[in-house]
Amino acid sequence: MTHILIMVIIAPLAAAVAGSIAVYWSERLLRCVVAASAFAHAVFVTSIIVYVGDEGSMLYEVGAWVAPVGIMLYADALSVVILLILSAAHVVLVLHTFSAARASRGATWILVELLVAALSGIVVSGDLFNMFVFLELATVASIGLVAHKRSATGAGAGFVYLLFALVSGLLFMIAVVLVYRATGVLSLSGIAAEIDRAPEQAVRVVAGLLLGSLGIKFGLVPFHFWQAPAYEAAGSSAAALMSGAGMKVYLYVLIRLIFHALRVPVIVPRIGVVLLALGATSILFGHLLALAQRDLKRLLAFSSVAHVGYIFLALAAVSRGGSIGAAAAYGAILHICFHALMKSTLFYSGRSMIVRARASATERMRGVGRAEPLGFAAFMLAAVALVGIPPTSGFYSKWRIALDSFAGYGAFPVVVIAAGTVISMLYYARVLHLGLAEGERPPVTGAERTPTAALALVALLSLGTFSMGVAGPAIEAMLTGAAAVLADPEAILAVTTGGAA
Amino acid sequence: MIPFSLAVPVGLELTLLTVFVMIGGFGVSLALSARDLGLAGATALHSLAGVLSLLARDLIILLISWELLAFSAFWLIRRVSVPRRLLVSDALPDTGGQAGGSRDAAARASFWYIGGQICAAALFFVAITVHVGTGGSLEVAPLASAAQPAMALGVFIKTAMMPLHGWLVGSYTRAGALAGFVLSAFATKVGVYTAARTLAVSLFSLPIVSVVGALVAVVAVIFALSQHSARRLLSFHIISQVAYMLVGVGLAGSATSATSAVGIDAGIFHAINHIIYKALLFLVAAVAIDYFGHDDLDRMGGLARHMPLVFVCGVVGALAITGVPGFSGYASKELLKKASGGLLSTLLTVASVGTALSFSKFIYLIFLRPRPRVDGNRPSVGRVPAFVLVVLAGLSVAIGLSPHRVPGAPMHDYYAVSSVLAGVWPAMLGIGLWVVSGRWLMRIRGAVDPQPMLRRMLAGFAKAALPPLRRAHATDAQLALGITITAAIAITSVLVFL
Repeated sequence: MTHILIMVIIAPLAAAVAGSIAVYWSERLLRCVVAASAFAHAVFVTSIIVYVGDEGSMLYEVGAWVAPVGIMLYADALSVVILLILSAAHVVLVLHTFSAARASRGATWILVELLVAALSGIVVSGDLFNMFVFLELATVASIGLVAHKRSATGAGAGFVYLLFALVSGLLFMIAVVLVYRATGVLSLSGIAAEIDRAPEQAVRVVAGLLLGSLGIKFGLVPFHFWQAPAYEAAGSSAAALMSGAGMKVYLYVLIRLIFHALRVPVIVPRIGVVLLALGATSILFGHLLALAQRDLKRLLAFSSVAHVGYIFLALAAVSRGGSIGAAAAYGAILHICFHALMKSTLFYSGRSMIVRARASATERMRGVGRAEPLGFAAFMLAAVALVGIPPTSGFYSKWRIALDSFAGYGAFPVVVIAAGTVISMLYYARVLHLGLAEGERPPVTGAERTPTAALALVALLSLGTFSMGVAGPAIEAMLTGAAAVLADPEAILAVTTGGAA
Repeated sequence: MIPFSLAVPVGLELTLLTVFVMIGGFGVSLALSARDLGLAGATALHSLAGVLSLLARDLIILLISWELLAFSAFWLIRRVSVPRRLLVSDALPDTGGQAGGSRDAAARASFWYIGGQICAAALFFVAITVHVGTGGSLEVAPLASAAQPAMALGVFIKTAMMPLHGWLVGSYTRAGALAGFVLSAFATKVGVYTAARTLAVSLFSLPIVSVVGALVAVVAVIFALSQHSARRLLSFHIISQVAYMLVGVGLAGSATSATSAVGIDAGIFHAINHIIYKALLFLVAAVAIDYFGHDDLDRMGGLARHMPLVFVCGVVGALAITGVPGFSGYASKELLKKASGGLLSTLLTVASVGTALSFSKFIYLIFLRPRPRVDGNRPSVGRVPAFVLVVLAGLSVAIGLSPHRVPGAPMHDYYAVSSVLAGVWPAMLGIGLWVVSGRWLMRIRGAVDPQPMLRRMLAGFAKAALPPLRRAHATDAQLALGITITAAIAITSVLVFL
């Protein structure tokens, strides 16, 4: 049964390989391979969810080689939520592209499958070294997705992304070396067991390096510079995958390493202040930068930067531990899930507007609301959710984060969140303003029309962002489980003792 | 995940709810009679949001109603209706004006409107977070003292207390004439209601909300006096009258509980009366704007002869807002003055004199000033607007004559001799001042309005700060990499030395 853990990596990886052969055969065959992969991935993730729901965690030792020599794959309630986000993003991407685009470049699919395999690998990795390998693999796939449109901006953005990924990889590598020097092990549970005996300075340096390395990956201010050009150059669907699921996986890595493996909040309690400062800076700068943009995809990219900040505020409160930490963990998980849904919806519905306006510049969105009413309505509904207007899902997670960070750090983070709400409302109001403006309506040819099936999917997602705030209890049990794991500093310690059998 | 608790209120609040429903119904029927379906939809949503605020029994629902009011108003303001739909005529004389206002101006105004409203809602959010965070429940009740300042600031924005009134004046004057009728009823009054339910704040043992209210009541009237556009004049009077209400509900911050209860009731009562007579006045202005084809008081006149019914209704509205005994404004203003007392009451009396002066000008310029006869087919007011005007005017008189019959209205000897005198003399003084100084007053123009200054400051900040931010992220990967690496090192060293 535990073999499934490796299957979530193998399925998309096999699809990438099979797809690169199938692409020479026919587009149709490639699509079959991709669909099969998305379906299989979803099935595997579902069975992992069920298994973890029953047993609490899942451990797989590849080739029955036990640690410290062997490779360990591990999943618990926290990783399961991230896997669910990843799988859902994968399935939605496939459904959307199948219904929206008549022809797609074969390379895109291969890169998407490669990215999904890498991201799944990161989530289920039980040791630092494998995590590093999969992180690098994800980087390769992402650069491909950013640059594959063969435009000058795409190449430039890909190059910038490559530079940043190099720095990120380097920082991560140094962190891995330092951890190994300090503890002598690389498995996460082993690190958690040994870290108390490691010199405290090493933990501090590793925490700083990881914040820098992963900060680049999920676009935290001031590590965010690559993100806007990359999302602008990438296709909307690729951006949706990278922002909706990729960013969450990197956040998961940060949580796993900082909170569980290194147990930094226990050793350096004041890391909370650093997380709080980084989060507040990200929220304010991210929203201001989004307000300054003149391009829809760049606007969405900077909004992602801001939303990493919200999750950081929650993580800062988690680092306080105790009941505050337990409550805040729930807010963090909630915002991770809701943001994945909301941002994907924005990218997909934004795509229908961009296709109709034949450009992604916000100025060109004049009148797009009249020309593409369904896509535009879906976009605005998701935007309202992301701004955090009650009773949408975005409001609920924002409200939780505000309450928890108030308990941890007083009124300052609450004021930051409120300011973020105001600024983000302004930039979405401008999109609304332009979209409803009366412009000359160019004659529509087939290429500018998003097919109804794709629009229906987008509308469904958008309704999801709206109703999650009301219908949340359906997923509450799963999220509570994940939050309990997040808040527990000894979440991984149990693996060596109980789970190894 | 979000608790939804609604309950039908009782007493004075139920009356307020009834008035909300009535104005919403009138707004929808006016919009339908003008054959503007979009406007009818926006009106219905806007009034539903108002009703929701009164039904709300928890703070989240109240916040939802705030946001819903903002979004429906956004739609309402942008629906610049085709002018002249309130009138019936075979052939309208060509006046060359643009009564509906330009779509562009309305769109810009709606942008500022939503900006102001989201600021208010964000402050509401901060207040309830602090309230719940310090152990309070989500029930609609006076907030914890730590949450009061944010809530008070939010309410000041929502009730357009100067100098935070830019969103109101800008949008009410640029929206379609009919939209003003609906807008004037809801947003600010929901702000007052929220204040009545949640605020109890004092500064240096002064009820600060009441003090701000009394000051704004006077200042807004001074601004209203220098206006030459019918809707701008009415907008500044909304601010002034809403400030009256805040004087009442702000008394919750004063020491004695007896005055605070009376004050809150007086404030809500004034809100009820105000909605009725201000809707009446806005409709009169809308008819006048449709008739003349523009919104410039200086170029109006002589409407009394052509539309005697509108004239009578306009006079009733003016008497009601001035607080002349026998009209609705009198009863609630009398209560407010009794409850507040002292300096606050004096300030309110001064504001009353100004109001009388201002509405003498309003009535004179639109209806009475001699104007050269226009030949040809004169338009008459349509059936639905006429009906609405008569009902609203009738209600203003009925409430004025027997205020104690209003369900939930506080028991009080409304027609004691001293009270009647206190209601009559400011009105007489105001009308007298108009007779004496009207010529001079009409010539004042271009009074300083602080709100464009605030707006220019914000726009200036946006212009100065945002393009450099954008440019810094458009190019220069080297700089970006440098910043990134430096920041990584900096964070690591902070962690090492923390």
